[in-house]
Amino acid sequence: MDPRAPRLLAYLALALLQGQGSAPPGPSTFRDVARDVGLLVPNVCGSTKKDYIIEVNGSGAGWLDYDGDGDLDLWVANGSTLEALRGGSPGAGNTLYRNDRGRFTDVTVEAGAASSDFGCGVAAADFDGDGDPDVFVAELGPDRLFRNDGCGRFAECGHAAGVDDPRWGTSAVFFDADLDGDLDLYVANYLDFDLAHPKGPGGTCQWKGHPVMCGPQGLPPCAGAFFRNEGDGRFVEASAQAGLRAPASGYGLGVVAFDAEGDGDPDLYVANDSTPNFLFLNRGDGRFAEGGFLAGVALSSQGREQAGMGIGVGDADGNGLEDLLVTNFSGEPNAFYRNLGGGLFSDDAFPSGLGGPSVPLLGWGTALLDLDLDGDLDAITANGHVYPQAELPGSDSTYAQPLQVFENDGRGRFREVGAACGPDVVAPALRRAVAFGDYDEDGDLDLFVSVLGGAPQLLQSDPRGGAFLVVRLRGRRSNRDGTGAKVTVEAAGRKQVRFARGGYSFQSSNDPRVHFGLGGASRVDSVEILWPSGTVGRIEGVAPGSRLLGVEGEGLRVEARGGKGE
Amino acid sequence: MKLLLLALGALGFPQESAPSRPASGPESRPAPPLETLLRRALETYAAEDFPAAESALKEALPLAPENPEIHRRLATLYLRVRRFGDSARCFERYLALEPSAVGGCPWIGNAYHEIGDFEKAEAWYRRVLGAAPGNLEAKRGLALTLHKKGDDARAEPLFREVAASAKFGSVALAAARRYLGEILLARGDGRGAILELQQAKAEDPFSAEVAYALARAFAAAGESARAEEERARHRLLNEHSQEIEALRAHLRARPGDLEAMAKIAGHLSAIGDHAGAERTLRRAVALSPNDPSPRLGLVDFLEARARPEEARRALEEAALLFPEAPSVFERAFRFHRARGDFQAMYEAAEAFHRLTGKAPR
Repeated sequence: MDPRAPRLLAYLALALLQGQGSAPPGPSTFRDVARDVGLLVPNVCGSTKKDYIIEVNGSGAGWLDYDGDGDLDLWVANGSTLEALRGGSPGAGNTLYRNDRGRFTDVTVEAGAASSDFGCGVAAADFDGDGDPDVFVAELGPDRLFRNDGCGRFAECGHAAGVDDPRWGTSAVFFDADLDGDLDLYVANYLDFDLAHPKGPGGTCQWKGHPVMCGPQGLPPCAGAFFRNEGDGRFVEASAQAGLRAPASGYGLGVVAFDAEGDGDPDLYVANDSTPNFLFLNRGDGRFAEGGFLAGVALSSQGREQAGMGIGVGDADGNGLEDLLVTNFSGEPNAFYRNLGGGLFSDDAFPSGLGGPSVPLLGWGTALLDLDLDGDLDAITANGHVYPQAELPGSDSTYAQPLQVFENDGRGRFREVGAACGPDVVAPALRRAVAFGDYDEDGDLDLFVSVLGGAPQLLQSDPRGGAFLVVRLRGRRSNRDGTGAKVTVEAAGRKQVRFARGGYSFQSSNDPRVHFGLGGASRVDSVEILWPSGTVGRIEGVAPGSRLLGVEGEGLRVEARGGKGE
Repeated sequence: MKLLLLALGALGFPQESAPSRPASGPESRPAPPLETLLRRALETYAAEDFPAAESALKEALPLAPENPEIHRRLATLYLRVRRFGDSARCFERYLALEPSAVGGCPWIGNAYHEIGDFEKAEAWYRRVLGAAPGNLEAKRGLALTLHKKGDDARAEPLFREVAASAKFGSVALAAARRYLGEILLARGDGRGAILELQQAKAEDPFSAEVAYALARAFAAAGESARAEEERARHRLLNEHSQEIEALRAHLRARPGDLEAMAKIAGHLSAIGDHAGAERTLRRAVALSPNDPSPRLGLVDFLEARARPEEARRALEEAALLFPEAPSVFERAFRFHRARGDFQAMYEAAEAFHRLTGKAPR
């Protein structure tokens, strides 16, 4: 019997028992409501045999309010098969779901979101600053940019905008690299896959003594691409000029923009599969220098390359600096790079409690987020192996795997609590991307989880107490989404720092609003926004459960549930 | 992993002698199947033919399912081939059958440690230390487990105990120093970390992990030039050690692949681990009594290391063992020509011509 099996059974048994009895104290519980709310389109990603590397990564999703009605709609990318690609047949294409009071309607065609490609990553942001979110889809093939006309319709403009890079794009992020008030774009690219002569099964590639599909080693890696926003709807490829071309290419899978050094400008972190991760440090003028190795975020604590997949980011230990959680391959712990300040990090995978439970699992999408609304950032990782051979003896892993939920003790130490979160969390599956957002507007964060070759999950959260605060941002001098803005909340003697950002994790884009859990605080003492332009907005004495709108230069004000526009 | 492999040497699997058996002779009976299987397991394990060793042990198991030794050997083998879950399971069975052996079996803790089950690893290390308080491997394992659980307050003194007790030049000492350095580095004490890590480097100069930690310690202490030096060293060590690991994994599946062994020796030489390279080449020689090429590889190595007398002796041995192998005499011809030993060069050329009808190049 596989050594993981008893633990998986124990998870399931515990979850079932807890489902029948009274709710124990602890984390949120989750229920998969995807089918109930109309998220029905299954993922397509090659055959079940998984003979080629293009068949194992799956596709991502993004939360966005595309129609400006105040709730979160959902854009889901989808893949194809090698046979379809070779034969020129259409892939499954995107699905755009409109949120109608918590139920979703497929509006792909009427909204102009259809495509027939092999979509991988989704990044949603208002790149043209016209007040509505646009969508970039990283593809196995030319990337696509869907411009929102503000009336609920998209027009694909990747070629005209200059971002239709034909290489295999995985994750993408919009961020204001040069702080000029518009959003630039970075696309992580994976590898050069030759569709005409794919390196497939044949027994030459081995894992744990079993023949498996080949890659990424042995296939040429692709460098990431940086596109500078020209402010007129076009982008210019400027990787070299911006210093965003590393000396050696990596197999890019995840990307996030965050302030690594605490100096107020966005740095860029790229998780690479089987090659060192990159940390591009912003010199303050939109030019970058790669410094991942000495910062301690390129490799594991052992100094080894790992199979970096997804990235979670946030201030997990409450020191005001953002830490990184990076998912890795089975047999490797997920990395938890604790930000020590001064541009230095320490991989505290094991001491944090995030590493040990991750060793048998292969992680993808991840996030640091306050699931139980107690005021600190918990962690989730979506898991699932790439090799069906993981079911064979001696693999020390399994093919389908549980989602993991880690509860933070407030000091950046975590314990795995998935078993207490419900059977839909621990049920083994081939999970890939995770995008979080409050789709039902109840103040907590729900999870969209893509499942390789299967129906997606929408894990509706039910926290066991704790109040919330939501801040929506509208930039004026800064970019319109407020991406990169630092929001600081003080309540019950505790200070929380969060940043607005335009997408991260793995191939996904999250709720653009900034969420806070407040625990049992009866009053929020202050909320302060430090905009990328340096402008500061502040409000004091806010009631828990409030939804705030921060407009750059105009301070903050309370708005009604489902607030929209300005 | 290096630590694990060295520790496995102390397990006694490959070193121990085969079980006693009746003297062979016309009147002696054939060996019982169990003994035959155990002997085969020993021999194939010693030859690093792990699939064959596993097969023999699994065949032996139904014949004596309560024999603790079979479970121990399977556990050891699985540890060696990195099937840690299987290893832990077999060690559990072994110690259930032979509970008094726990004081000498820290390896079960290592198996649980490797699969990330730190609770079980800690519990087993503590049981080992309860039975044998001086067991250094258990102490090292416990220290590392506590460190990985984030309990540096208890890990640090244990690492210091290991550092004080471990033999000079041992991997255990290097590991203790390295983790002490890591603990200090995470605490923000770059200078203190450098002191520990430089000692770790002295103990284990080919460790990419130590080079990585040292680079970061220098960076934390603001010594960027030395940080870059260690970074370059890390790059070299890491690149080769990954190749070595991949080749070793290949050897676990296809034991006795001489080309892979020669490549490993090449990578070890490239990082400056000449002793390791020589050990690998000599092992390849021992594993291939009918093939002259490993001996010629050893000759190349000895010549490159400016040890011509040993290279000469290796060539002479090769000529005696493989009198019909032209490659031996061609190599001898080049060796003697390079040293101006014309008599020996002539003899080698003549032997080569006798075998091929051609003159050596």
